[in-house]
Amino acid sequence: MKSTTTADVPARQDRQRRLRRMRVLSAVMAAACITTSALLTAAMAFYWAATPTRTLLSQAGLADSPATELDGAVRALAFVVAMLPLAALIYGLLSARRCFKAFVAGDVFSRRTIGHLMAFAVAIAASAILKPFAGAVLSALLSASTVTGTKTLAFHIGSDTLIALIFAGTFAIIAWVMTEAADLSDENKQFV
Amino acid sequence: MPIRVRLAVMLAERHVKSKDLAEYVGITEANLSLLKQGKVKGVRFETLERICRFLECQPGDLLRYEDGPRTETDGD
Repeated sequence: MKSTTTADVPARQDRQRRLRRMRVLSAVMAAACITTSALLTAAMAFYWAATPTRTLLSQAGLADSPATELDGAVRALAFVVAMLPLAALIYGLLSARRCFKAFVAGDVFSRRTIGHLMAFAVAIAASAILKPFAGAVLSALLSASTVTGTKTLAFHIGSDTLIALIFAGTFAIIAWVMTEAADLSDENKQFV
Repeated sequence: MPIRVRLAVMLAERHVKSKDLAEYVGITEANLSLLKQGKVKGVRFETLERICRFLECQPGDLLRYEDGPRTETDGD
């Protein structure tokens, strides 16, 4: 039995609608995160197993080099190297999924949820940083395995790396802001 | 904290049970108990209004300022 003013009612209804939207979208995002993680791993495995050698060399920045066919062991090793930044990204997606699941459960301002969001930010940054290094290792590995007489080391830093780092930084700041919000929420719980 | 909550005294004077007041106000008995002990950071006007209506008293009857040493939470 709680008294409410007429002004409280629309505000409360708005909040309920907002929470409902957040829960629905979070459920969709949680499903998208796990699906994307599985698809990315499968696509990467398929890429290294089925892509023609010339295409692999071209995409590793070794387009003009004469090539011999890559054997299975080299493809498997290249897959492992390529999976390093992707593994960081997948860890980030799984952290984001835990965060979304917590939102679905209504657990918005808890330290654990904020920890998942921060893990997502760190994983995105780690993936962005690892990607050029993995690319460099791949170019060396592919050139050593297929190109006769030449060894190449290609190191690429593109706008996607910088954007991913900005994205990660933004989420890290949002996580810190949420920590402040959690402190306010804890304080508010001490009001009766 | 120099603010003393006199809710326990008011309940005793009016022979009102905590359970009945908590139900009327719309808070848990646990929170009402914390309020009686002064172990809360604040009281919402909404809660205060309901308590005053139920006990037919003024907010000043429930809260007293007593000069004394400040606790670390006073400055918050």
